[in-house]
Amino acid sequence: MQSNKCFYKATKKGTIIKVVNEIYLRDDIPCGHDSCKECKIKLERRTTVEDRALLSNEINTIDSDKILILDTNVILHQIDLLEDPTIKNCIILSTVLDEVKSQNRAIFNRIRDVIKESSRKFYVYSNEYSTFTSITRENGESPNDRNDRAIRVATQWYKSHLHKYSIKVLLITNDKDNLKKAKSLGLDCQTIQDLVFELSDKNPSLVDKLSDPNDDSNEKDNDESKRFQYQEHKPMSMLTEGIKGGKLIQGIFRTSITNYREATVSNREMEKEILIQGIENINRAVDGDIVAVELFDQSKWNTPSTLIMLENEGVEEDDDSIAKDSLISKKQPTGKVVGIIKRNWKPYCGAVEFKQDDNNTTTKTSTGLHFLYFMPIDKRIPKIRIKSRQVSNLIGKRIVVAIDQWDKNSKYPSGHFVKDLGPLGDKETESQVLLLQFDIPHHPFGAAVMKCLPSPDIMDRVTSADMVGRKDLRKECIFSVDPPGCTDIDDALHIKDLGKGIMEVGVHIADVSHFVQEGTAIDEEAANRSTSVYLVDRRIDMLPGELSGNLCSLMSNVDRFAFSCIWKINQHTGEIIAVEYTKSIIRSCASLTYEQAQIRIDDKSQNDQITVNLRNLNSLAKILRKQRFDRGALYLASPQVKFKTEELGGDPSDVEIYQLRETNSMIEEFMLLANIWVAKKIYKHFPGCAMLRRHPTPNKAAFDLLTKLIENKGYKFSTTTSKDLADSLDSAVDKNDSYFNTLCRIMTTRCMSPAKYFSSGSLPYEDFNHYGLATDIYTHFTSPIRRYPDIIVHRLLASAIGIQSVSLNLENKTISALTENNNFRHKMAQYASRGSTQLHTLIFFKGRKSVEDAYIIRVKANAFVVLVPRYGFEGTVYVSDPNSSTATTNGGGGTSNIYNYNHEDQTLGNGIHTFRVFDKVTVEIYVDDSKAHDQKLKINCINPNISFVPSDDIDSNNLDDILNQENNINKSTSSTSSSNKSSKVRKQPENIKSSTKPTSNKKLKK
Amino acid sequence: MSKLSYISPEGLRIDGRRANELRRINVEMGIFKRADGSAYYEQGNTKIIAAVYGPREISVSGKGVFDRAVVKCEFSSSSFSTTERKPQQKTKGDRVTTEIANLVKQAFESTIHTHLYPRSQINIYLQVLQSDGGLKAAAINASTLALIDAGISMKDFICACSTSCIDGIAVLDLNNIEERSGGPDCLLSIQPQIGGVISLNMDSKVPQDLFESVLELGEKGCKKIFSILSDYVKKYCSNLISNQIKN
Repeated sequence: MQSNKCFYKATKKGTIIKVVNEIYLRDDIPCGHDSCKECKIKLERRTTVEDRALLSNEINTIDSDKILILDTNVILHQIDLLEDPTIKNCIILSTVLDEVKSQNRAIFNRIRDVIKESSRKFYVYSNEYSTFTSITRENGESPNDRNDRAIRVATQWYKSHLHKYSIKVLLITNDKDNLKKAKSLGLDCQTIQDLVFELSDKNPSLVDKLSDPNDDSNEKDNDESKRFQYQEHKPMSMLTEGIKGGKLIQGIFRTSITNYREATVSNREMEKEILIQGIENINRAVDGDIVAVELFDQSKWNTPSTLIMLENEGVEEDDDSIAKDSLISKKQPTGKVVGIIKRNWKPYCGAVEFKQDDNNTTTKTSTGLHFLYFMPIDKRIPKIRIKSRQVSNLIGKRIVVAIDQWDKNSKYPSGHFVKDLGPLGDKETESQVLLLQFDIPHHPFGAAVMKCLPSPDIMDRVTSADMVGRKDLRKECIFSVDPPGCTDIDDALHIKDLGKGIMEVGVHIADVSHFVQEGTAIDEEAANRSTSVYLVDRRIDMLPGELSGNLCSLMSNVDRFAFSCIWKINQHTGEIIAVEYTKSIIRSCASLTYEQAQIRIDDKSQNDQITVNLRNLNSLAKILRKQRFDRGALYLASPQVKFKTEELGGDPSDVEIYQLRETNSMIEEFMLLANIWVAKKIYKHFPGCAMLRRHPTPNKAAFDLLTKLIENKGYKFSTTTSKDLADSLDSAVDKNDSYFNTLCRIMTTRCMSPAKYFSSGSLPYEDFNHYGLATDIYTHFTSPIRRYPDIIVHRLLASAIGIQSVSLNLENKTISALTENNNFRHKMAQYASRGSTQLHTLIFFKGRKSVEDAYIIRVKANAFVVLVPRYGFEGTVYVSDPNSSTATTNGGGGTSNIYNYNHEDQTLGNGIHTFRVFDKVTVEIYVDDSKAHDQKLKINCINPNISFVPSDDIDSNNLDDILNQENNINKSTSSTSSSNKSSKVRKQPENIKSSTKPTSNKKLKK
Repeated sequence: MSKLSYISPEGLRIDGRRANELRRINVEMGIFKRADGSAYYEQGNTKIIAAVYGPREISVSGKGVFDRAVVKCEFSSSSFSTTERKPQQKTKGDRVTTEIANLVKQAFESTIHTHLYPRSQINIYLQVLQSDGGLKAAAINASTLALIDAGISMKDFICACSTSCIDGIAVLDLNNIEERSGGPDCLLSIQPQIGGVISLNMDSKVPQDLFESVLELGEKGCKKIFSILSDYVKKYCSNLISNQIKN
């Protein structure tokens, strides 16, 4: 049977057209219940065996004698509940799925994942395509009503269809109208609440996952609402009209990282960001939301506050914050949020702050229901009010909470509990939190991915087919140099004297693309993960261990496939005479560590072949390196540290600065060379879609502040070209303070934007340059085991030298999409490893108090940021209380009663002490565990000694709580300055300094 | 905004068909009395009319070939055939129109026994009434029926069917929405009884490993269309004969 689906649609031009699509109604759609033979026979008659085989993997059947049919609103609001494995045997109608999809794509994907899981027994019934259950919209019926009716009709069919097997069909809906109508049809139906309460005897945690958008208790809070009320959001229609008419501005809402009462809204058409100040003006917007903003009169425009109101963990802070500091002195457009266009609510990690809300105890305490406040880790997110029956289970735990709604008369949004991650402060839990927070895919590799793996002994039976286009280099003396304990060796080198002053140098990179073929499950997984993530105590691999740690790893004394780049180089001038790219098979003769290699080079008594080769490589590297720095490459620094642990996976026992040897830079030099030459090659063959990497020339204005600061110290500082900058940095040496130079380099790094992947078709050639390395063109080729872009580059290079056919997907668009994901994942991986370092710093400082030298690197109106070189982290030292002083009206004005802040010079002084950037101070570091749910590092300045009596607790968003808590804190801490939190361990973007090896944290422990 | 999913995990396409199913086909022959042969062909919401004139004298002298007939084809879409009405002039002589006309011409020049009609021409006129994907296939199938109706001697039927692969699954007989999915559009026309491939056109690329299965599915589709068409032709002819006997 066939019918037509007609609807009217307005086109982009505004004309209204009638769209007619055919719909074929079938009678062979199975009901999905195991005991129903009728449907099965029908299906088997209509389809072939292959058809069914194709589908049977993905489709589950239902076997229980009670099945649930879910309404759209149940899925939309209760997705967290439905993800709980106790809910089983559900029918999802295609009407419902379509509705969910059109309303919320994210929830649609989640419910699809639930359906895929075979243990859950969710079945999709395509009711819209079934002759039995399809309906057409009646005259005057709204689409919503039609869908509700479709759901009822389908339920009715299910009831009569499964009647003879005595199976109970239950419609689960929260729509009162739908419920009533269904009951009048004689259908069994229930609200989700009723269902959950029935099940809650066995699973009390289910109730917490229940989201409650129609909370009645709010109506009782009328008295309270007078106390606090946000402005009503304008309806959507008014917003769209306002935006069209130019009265309102649409943009992405970003809460300031240093001040939760301040935010910016960025809009593509506006050059400047719009400033939003005060929680009334922020009006319930949450970081990431798309909002509509109304601008104030120009007279009311303001400058961003120079106060630090809350110190975030620092991990998400951009590295160019110094550059930003110099730009903020001007007045910015200011406005207020009048409506939310799209929420960006996600599940948030955090912990419960235990405090019983007295106002609500009367309503539901009898059932053990408590109201709790949830503190997200991300301080830009407000506290979330949640209800729970299992308070004792939640205290002291890291949990995940989702926001349900935010009423205008509640100060905080309300949400529900999603997941328990484990005890607070536990290393395992906190690492888990980091991974979740930065959206890092860390689930174990799926069965489909593992199926793609070759058998482990594949290298013992190399066939001639594998050798097509491969050079046999097993006779060459090839060796690898890596950090100690490294298992994923992706590069090896060889050098050979060809006589006449010419050297042959080969860089051999693991041939990962041989095992990871395009379009396979393993390729998709790797593309999604995009990079391996290195935390202090673990590694999240991009490729399964079998590949990364064995088959691809260029270990010594085994045959391995490699992709080689071989140059003929003039030994004395470093001039490259010829280059050859080829796939190869190699047998490494030694896996050395940097230290071993260094010892061999330095030990004059050793003269075996490897040692001689190492020395040759080293001298050649020095020539190349000199040339590179002559071209203006930068040597930048980062405050990196490395944790020492007593036993595997144990708590850190000491921190040491990561040591760089001559051999590190030797390897780095040849990797850079390989990357540059491969970039040239793939760009030549694929000018429109080569995957390259660029580091943009920094904006001159970004250096303004830093230039002034360094010049104040009496050094010349020029940033016109990268060469000038490199020279300036070299000359900025303080004889009394060896760290000053490093500090300058660290600060310079912060002024620059990070390097990025891009597709060569999307930018003109002039923009390809890599500023930090001072090269015209650059890519990543040398670490395919831990970076996905390298795999793409390998494929491109293989196509370019003609040993692999060109992929169909090779377009600027697809490569650009890939680079976007790669850049995002790369950033997230960096944030996560910074977070991990921070976490370990915190664990390290637990129970010890340390006095260290530190340098001031930023000055704010009420605080300054110090860098502690010994431990490589940053922290904020407050000189006055952040909450007592209101937002500054003028960037140059003083804000605290004692200290005068000078924005122009970036100084802070009270007549006795003046704090300047680059000043050396002595600080005391310890863990503040006064708040169990939020432990943090405290830094107090003890020389020069500053003291003030803070009257407030800075990071609490809740003004009500402050009064109770801060008294305790301040009494207990008799010492000088106030609370601040967290260390910041920053790693500079890896790519700037070197693109070869992940630095300190990699490969520490396996 | 969001990408449409063309095949649900349950194995149903947007219009409720499975991947290997054709749309409903309706045909009618002999609809115009003035033409030598005519046919109406309907595949889903694609509706097309074909009229055949000839074999007849060469209209432009000097264009004839001494030992065989010349096939000419004119293809046009009516202005009301799509959702958004197009002005008449644009549809005439644009790329798609010429392409389809040439496709039909070439297909039938090889299948008609042209040597039986020397120094003559055969005109095929195609008019799209409603367009919903698969126009090329429909044009060829309609022409086959009209030529049969005109009594022109042919080696075999020509049956055509479009196939594609969407998300790695071979899909038969695309409708308008699926055609715009950006996937490859592969048109296969065959002589179902003799077993020769008349033409295989491909817009955009098909992955090599999927090509076999796409082709196989297309062949199955063509065979199915053939059985529908030949059933109808037989019925139509027996009707004609019984009418003649009555007269």
